[in-house]
This record gives sequence, C-alpha cells and structure tokens, in this order.
Amino acid sequence: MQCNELRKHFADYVKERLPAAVQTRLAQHLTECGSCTAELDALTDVWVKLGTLPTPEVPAAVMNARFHDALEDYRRNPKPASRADLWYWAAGAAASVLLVVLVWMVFLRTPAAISTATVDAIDGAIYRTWGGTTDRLEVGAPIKLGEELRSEGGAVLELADGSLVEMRSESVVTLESAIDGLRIRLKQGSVIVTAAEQREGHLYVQTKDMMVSVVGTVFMVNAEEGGSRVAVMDGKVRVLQGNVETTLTSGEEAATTEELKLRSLLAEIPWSRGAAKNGASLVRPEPIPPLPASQRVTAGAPKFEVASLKVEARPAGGARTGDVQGLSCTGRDGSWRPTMSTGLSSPSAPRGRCLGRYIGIQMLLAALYDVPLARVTGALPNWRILGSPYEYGFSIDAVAEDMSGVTQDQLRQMLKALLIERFKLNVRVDRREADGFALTIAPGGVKMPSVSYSEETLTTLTERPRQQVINGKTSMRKFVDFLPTVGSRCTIVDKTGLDGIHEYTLTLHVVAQPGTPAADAETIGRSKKGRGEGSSAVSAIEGVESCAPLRGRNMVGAGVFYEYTPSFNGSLEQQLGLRLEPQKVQLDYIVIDGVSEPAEN
Amino acid sequence: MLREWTDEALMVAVREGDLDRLEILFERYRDPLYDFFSRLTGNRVASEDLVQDVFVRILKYRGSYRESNRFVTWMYQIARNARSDYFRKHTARPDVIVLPSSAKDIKTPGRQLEESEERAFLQAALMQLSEGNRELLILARYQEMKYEDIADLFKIEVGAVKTRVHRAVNELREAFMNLQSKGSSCSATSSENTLPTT
Repeated sequence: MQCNELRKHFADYVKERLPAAVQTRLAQHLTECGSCTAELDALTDVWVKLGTLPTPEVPAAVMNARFHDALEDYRRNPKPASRADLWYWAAGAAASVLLVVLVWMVFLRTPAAISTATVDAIDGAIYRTWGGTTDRLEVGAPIKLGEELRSEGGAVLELADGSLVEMRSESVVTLESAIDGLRIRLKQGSVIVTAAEQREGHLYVQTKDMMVSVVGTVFMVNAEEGGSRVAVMDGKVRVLQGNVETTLTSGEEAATTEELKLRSLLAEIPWSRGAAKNGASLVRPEPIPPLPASQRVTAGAPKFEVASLKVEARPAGGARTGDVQGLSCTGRDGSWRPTMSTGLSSPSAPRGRCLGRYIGIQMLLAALYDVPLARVTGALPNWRILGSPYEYGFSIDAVAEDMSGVTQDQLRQMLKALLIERFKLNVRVDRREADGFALTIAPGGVKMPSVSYSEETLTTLTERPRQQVINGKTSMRKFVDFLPTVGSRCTIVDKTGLDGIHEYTLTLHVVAQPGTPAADAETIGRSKKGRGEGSSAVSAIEGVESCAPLRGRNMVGAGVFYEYTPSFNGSLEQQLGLRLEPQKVQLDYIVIDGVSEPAEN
Repeated sequence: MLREWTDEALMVAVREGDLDRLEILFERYRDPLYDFFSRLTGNRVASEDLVQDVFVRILKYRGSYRESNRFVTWMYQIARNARSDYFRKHTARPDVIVLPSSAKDIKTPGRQLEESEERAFLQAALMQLSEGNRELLILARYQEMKYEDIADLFKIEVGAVKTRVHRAVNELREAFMNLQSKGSSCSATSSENTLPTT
C-alpha cells in the first residue's frame, strides 16, 4: 500500500467497514510507516472526539405543536401536490410568505403570545419552565403552550374553554396544541380533569403510553415510570393504548400494565381538593375497589403450555441452597433474573422457558411484583419450616407455547397466572405511607459532571475493607434506586430536577462498631446482590432519624455493623453536591388474602 | 403495526393522501433533522424553523415522491434546499456555538474542565469548516448516513465521498489545533443566538 492510499481508506477505517484484505494491507503498511501511523492516529482521534460533542436539546413540545398546527392548516386548506409545486416555485415571494407564516408560528403561536390557561388555585407551589428558565407562578398567572408546569403541592389550572385541570403534588404537565383541540401532556404524577363540553374539538391527555380523549366528563389520569392509569368519575372517555382503543364510562378504570391494574386509581382520589370538600361533585364519594387480583390476572392471561412444580429436596453433597437458588425466564428479548438468582449454579433458562430452584412463594411474589421481600405480607404460609413438605421451597420448570416468540414480560405474566392457578392465590396491592427521603441538590451545587447518553453505564458498588465505593454514569432516577443497596433501607425519591446522565463516584468510609445486627427481612430483601443475610450495617445520616435505623450492607462479617464517617449525607454532599432530606413516601405492599398448597405435577 | 412500516411505505401513503402517516415520519425524523440543522447552522431558532419547513415542503411536494427513492435521501435533499433558501433570504448568522449548560454551570476542575474546553474548541473548529465539509461530516458522523446515500444526495461517486471525508477531517484537525494553540475561547462560549430577520 502507498501512503497516498490512506485518504481513500480512512472513511471506511473509522466506520470499521474496511474489507479484510485492505485491513491487512493497511496494518502491514502502518508497521512500516511512522508518518502514516501518526496521521491515522491523529485523524481518528478527531473523529472520536467529534462523537463526544453534545447532542443539541430538541424543543420537542414547541416543534410538535407547530407541526400539528401546520398539518391541521393543510388539512383545512389542502392543496393538490402538483398545484402546490407550481404555486411554490412560480411565486417569487413564496419564501417570504413562508417566512411570515413561520415567524407568526414562532412568535404568535408559541408561549410568547398565546395564553391557553390560567392558574386557578395553588396548595403549595407551582413552577413553570420555559426556555431554560424556571419561575414560580401565582394564582391568575397565564399559562401558554409548551410551558412545562411542575406542582409542589396541589394546583388547579383553568383552561381557556373553562375545563379544570387539578394537578396532584409532584406532577408535571405541558399544554400542547392538538390537531383538533388541546393536549395535556402528563409526564409524571396525576391530574383530575373536569372537561368543559368540547363543542368543536377534543381535549386530550397524553402520557408516554396512553392517550385519553374526552368530550365532556370528569376523569383522572396517572403517569409513572412503570405505566399509566385512567379512571372515569363521570361521563365517558376514549382510551388509546398502542393501536387499541377502548371506551370507559363512569366508575371504570384502565391501566397499561398488569401491576398497575391492581392499584385502584379511584382509591387515590383523597389527594384531590374536590375530595376534601364534603360532597364535592368532582369525585365519587365511595371509591370503587379494584377487582380481586386473581380475577384480573387470569382474565385472558397467556399460560404456559407445560408447567411443573415440585418440592425441592435438600441440596446434595453439602451444597448450600443459596448456591443453586434462583429463577430465570428467557424470552426473545433477553433473560429476566430476579435478585435472588445470584448463586454460582443458579438456573439459566433457555429461550421460551422459566426455570426456578428453591423458590418460596414470598420471594417469587416479591420478584414478580418488583417489591422488597418484606413488603409481601398477609396470609403467608411458612412452607420452609423443618418438616414441612416445602422445607426447601419448590422448583419450577415451565415452557411457553411460542418458545421463539414469547417475551420476558409475557413470561412474567404467565408465571403470575401459574401461581394464581396452582396456589389458588388471591393477592392485592395495599399502598401505605412511610418515612423516606428526597434526594436534593445541596446548597453548594452539583459536583457531578453531565455526560452524554451514549456514555451511560450501570452503577457499581465496590466493597473493600472499611470502604464502599459507588460509581457510575446514570440518570438520577437509577442512582436513587441504587442508594438503598448501600446506605438506607428507606425509600428515596429523586427531587434533584437533574435531567440526563451524570457521572458520580461516592466513597463511603466505614467504622466498625459492636452492636446488634438488625436482621430484618426488608433489609435483606432490598439487597441488590442478595448477600449479607443475618447481618447489616448501620449508616448514620446526619440529622435524619425519621427513617431510622438506616442500614447499610455489611461487607466484612456477621455480627458487626458500621457507621459511616463522615456520615452518609456528609459524603454525599461533599463529593457529589447532593443531600438526603426526610420525606413521607407511598409504598406498595403485596397482601396475600388467600393461598393453598399446590398439588405437585 | 404502523410503527413497523418502512419510511418509503409511509411516504407513499402520505403521497396518496393519508396525511396521518406523516406524523410517524415526523416522530422518526424530528430529532435527527433538528440535530442536522443545529450542528450545521449553530442557530437554534433557524433550526426549529427549518425542521418545520422541511415537513411543510414534504406535504407540498408529496406528489413528486417516487417509491424507488430512499425516503431519507429525498428528505435530506429537501432539507438542504430548505437551508439554502432560508439563508439566501435571511441574515441569520450561522456562526454562534452554544455550549451545553452543564459545561458552564458545573464546577469541574481538572480533567473534566479540559474536556469541556476541548469540546468547545472542536465545536468552534467544526463551524470554521466550509459548509460543504461541515455538512458532509455531520451526515457521516452524527446522522450515521451511509456513504452510498451521501453519494446519492450529493450526486457524486462513493469514492469521492470517502476522499472528501478524509479531507474534511484533516481540515477539522488543523482548525482544532489552531484554536487550541491560540488558547482562545473566542465565540465558542457565547450562548447568544441571532434571530433571523425578515
């Protein structure tokens, strides 16, 4: 290869598209030519660095609104394509006209000029974010398209058509223009909408996985990371999820996931201002209880083609149960392995199948409903006591009919159906208030750099004698989900308001102290690595006692527990510019109302 | 199921009058187009207008789409025309670079600060390239467009595209090194935007 050939091959080289033969010739040439090696290295370095430039933030809400406006205009005044071509190119001033239209859209149709709603009432605070700035709104403040509204405490908005939108605390909404009306985009939290009669168009509430359209009714929508729910109090709404449209009438509910179907949205209405008023027409006085879980999950749920449940014998050869315990379900989109599956010989299911070893009903429910072990309560049979036929739990081997096409989520649903059928299981979800923490930004400001999404990693915990190191590049949501693994058994919610991916390294120094280990089940159940049973560590979080005792993981030995020095909160603030503040949180408990020993097969 | 339709099938449906399908194409290409214009012009307001203009033009010219054409190539041809027309008529200065707020707001001493500065210099260097080379690099690096599609778009041979990529990266490297040696923060730290004028 000649030196001047490098320029022909560089473009393919950086995209790793060089044919093998050329790759070989190039490699050979580079071993002999120092100048080409240097040039290739320098250019590749620039190419790689180009990939680190930040991605521009897209003003999605405004662009969506403008696009839908343009499409709507076009529908109302359609121009045949051929005529449009002629018109466009023939008119010398066409571009100017277009610009006028665009400028009108930018400056008149965006928040700068249109008031779509006003703040009608506030119980706490409501904040508006627009164009990178955030300000606090007062009663009577105008709300415009595209502005993001975040409630800290309840708030009520009145739309231009007289509809009322009541926001629950910690909810985030944006008002957008729809093709034939107005869209309330609910990013998180809940809203109760008392829709005025829509004479010409529609009012929509859009979450990430559901759209609700109305023509005059009272309904409530909830959006959270796991999915969305809608409940109708009066009138009827149309609900679009994917390509499936359903109509709900007064008292009916719908949810986008099986887990959410177990939690009645109507039962959560007491947060509403309307609910607080005696006999308020906004809400039904008696929430409708959800259907029993057994009826919900079995209705139309897919089932395994073959499924076997067997009582496990004591592990042979002195092996420990934990070494082989676990559950694995593999679908076409990957494997699901809940947290108890950490043994060296834990099962690994082939595609289209679920395999479990030494599984107890409590741990299985905890895994299926994604809650800590201690939050599965109720009529729990102690099938693992000595002498019970279920002393060591049971094994599961279940095969889906469509082995190549089934997904992880479908396998989980099938596993739930199997439990309900074989164990005659009846469970419900009970939401309870508990002490927890909010992760906030410390007064000194954030000390974590922001990185691009392409650099996202998992969070890792490295345990050394007297030291724990947490590092990763993730969203703040994933960071708060991980924190209880280390420093607290309490629930933590993200209140930092930080978007995107941040890089963090948190080093915690621990001091051994004698004391009584707290072998509570919840601590064990929260362990993301499933270790440390029977022992735990105490982490002192400065000035925080409402969630005490806060427990960390013991990484040295049983019978010893620890205190962090500096405190957990101190390290968090000093190293990352964050802090934990006590706060009441809502926790879901899985309550078993009925269960029977299954017949083996 | 609609989500599984190819771009070309959706565009044929739009051409035949099913305008709802354009919403799916808008969802697919809103962000890539905004990224393309934003990196190309350095002007957020102009980029927002241009994305809108592209979809208005797709509606207008839908009758001219042929299914034998790759939609993405056809759309970027429209995008290039839209940008050319826009800056011919308006005086929006396409020379402002906006640093991400994270780089300005977060106190990150040492290596991270250096990386932030390096990114700013590289971004400034990118804006110093000729428009053609900048457009080529944006399509190849950020839009991940195949060289064959770029060749189709630019109406040149694939080999010529590859040679131009080499030349453009070389030009970028020189501009980058030049800025670094001067140690100038120049306009790279400005967050000012220039609004288009009519």
